[in-house]
Amino acid sequence: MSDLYVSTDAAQFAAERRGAVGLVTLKGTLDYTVRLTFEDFLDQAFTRCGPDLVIDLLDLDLLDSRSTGLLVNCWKRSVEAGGWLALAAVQRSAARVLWITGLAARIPVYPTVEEALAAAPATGG
Amino acid sequence: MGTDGGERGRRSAPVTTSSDGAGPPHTGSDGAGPRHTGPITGLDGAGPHTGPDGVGPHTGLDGAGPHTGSDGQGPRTGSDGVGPRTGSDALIQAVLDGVPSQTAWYTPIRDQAGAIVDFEIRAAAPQAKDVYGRAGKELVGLRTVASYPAVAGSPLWEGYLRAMETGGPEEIARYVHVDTVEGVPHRSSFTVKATRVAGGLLASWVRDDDEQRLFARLAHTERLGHLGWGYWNMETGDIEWSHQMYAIHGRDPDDGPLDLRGYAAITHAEDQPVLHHALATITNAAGPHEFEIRVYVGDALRHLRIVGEAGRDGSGQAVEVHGVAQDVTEWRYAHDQLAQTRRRLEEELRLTAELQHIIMPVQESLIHLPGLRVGVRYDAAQTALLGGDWYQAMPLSGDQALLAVGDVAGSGLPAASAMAKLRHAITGLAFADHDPDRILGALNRLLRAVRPDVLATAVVGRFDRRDRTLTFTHAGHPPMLLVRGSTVHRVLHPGVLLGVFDDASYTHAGIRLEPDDLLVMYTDGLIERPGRDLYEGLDILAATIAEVMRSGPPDRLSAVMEALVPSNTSDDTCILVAHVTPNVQEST
Repeated sequence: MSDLYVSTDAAQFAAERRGAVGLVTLKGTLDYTVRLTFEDFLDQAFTRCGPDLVIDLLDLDLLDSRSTGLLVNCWKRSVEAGGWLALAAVQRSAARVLWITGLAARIPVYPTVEEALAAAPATGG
Repeated sequence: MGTDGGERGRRSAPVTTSSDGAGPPHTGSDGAGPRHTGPITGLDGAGPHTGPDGVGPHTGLDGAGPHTGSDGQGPRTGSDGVGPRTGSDALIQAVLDGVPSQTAWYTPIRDQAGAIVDFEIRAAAPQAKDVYGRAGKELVGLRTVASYPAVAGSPLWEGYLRAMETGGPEEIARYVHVDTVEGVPHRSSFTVKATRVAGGLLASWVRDDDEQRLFARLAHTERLGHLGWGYWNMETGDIEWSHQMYAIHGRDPDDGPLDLRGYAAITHAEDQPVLHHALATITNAAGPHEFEIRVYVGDALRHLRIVGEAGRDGSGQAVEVHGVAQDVTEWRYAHDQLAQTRRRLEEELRLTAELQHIIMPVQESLIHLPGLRVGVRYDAAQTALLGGDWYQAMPLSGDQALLAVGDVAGSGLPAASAMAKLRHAITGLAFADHDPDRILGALNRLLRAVRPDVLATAVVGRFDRRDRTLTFTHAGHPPMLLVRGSTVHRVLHPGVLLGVFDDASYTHAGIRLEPDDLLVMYTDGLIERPGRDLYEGLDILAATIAEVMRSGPPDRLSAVMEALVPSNTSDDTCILVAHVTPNVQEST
């Protein structure tokens, strides 16, 4: 059961709570044509799930530079709010831009959603 | 007036006389009657039956007036009250066939005492139509009272009888006929004219509601379209204006229409030549002529679009002018406002482009740097002239040059001002003899300090012509392309985006370029497009460049510049291509 689900012609965005962490799943094509929808969705996901987030990029078909910028903003916002943000992604995929831009070295990236969730810091501490 | 009345009197007299003169004697004189007996009596006398026998069927009809009761007409009516079909029927039908109005000819049906009890239609014009929709010859044989019982005793009936008695013409205005069709009463209003003709009754009628509908439709059209209609008879000087024409000109219909002099008086001084030219054109040239003038309606100036056309006589001389005027003031106002807004926007666009040019001048001609010829191009996004993409290409010393391309996320003034900061900063940092990694580290700190809202990418290279080495670093920016011969290589030394991490640090890489190599730096607008990411776009771009190079163009630099077409017009694009000058090597 998703707490939040947004679908466009080319992309689907979902957000749900997994314990203390919000799991955000992005699928399909994430280019600038869905930029406003995506930005609005991230805003809502943040409001509902809080600053501890795992963003699943494993089923993404395309991630353009502007959408990458939005992900970076999301990470900045999480960190500024004292939260923790990790990505589930692999290098040979649509998310390769994370490695090419050097982001993968800075933002925690895990090859599976489970590993990312398991890495979340204990809450309430 | 007296003359008019007298003439009218003279005209009507013979009609009455000839009709009154019912009976055999008058038929002969009818045929030979004076010209002024007019078409009505003409009918009387025109038939072949007016021959010497004189007492033929025609006289029976002719003498059908009530006053003939004693002249032996009674028996002729027979049991059905009407005589057999006669020559008059055929003649009148032939005439009515050519009459473009609702007209029918009736013969009276009399009782034993000679009083008219009904009328039977014996001839009808093709356009004649009754309340049931029967038309033309379908009407022949119908009887008035029998078919339209409501007529009995009505003003119409009285009018018919009066016409038969006096010869007419009788006008029965706005006769309201109510007929019940399948239980539903239908009300229709007619204006009927009745005249005694050939012993029968010639009646023509106009359905008032048809006319009213037409008037109403015309009035609506004129009102809704702000349209007025006018007519000017150039021979008599008669002028006619429609109601809306008065309304458009703010004029009381009681004051009458304006003549040409009056119209010129309300026309704006600047439009006087237009009015006079239009009039000359309408009267001298065939076809309609359209023009627009401003007229004063009270103190207000209204814009009128007028279409006029002349009617001509046989010699082609204009004798009348019909015109339609439309009040286009509101339209003209909106049109002018729009034009003004468009001019203002164009001015703003021009200023914006100028601002962009001040922040980052882009020159058409090549930039000559130590050991390099450099071409640059900036394509603004269609949606925002001010963008965040930038380039820098400048000499640092006699042997060194700085090459850089960057992209500030977003557009408009915030992006442009951040772009200007970065571009100025990089210039200073390069002159401080810093390498690209240190330059980018400083730019990152600058953004974090003064514009923490901004994300940016850049590629910075430092070329030294003495050994043709390029030292370079990427900060979240897509790879450069190195074109050697007709082979295209990606060149990337990745570092993190600018403006995200406070402690970002960069390293640099170096490559040695060959004479005639081309180095391509660009922003993502060149290769990204919806549904296609940077790397797919990059492959396509590399293939395109390779193909161009295989054709062996004389000028490799301009050939590549031409091949680089922005893929995404919603994003701005900056392109820098450096060509390693072939003949300059190891010089001082």
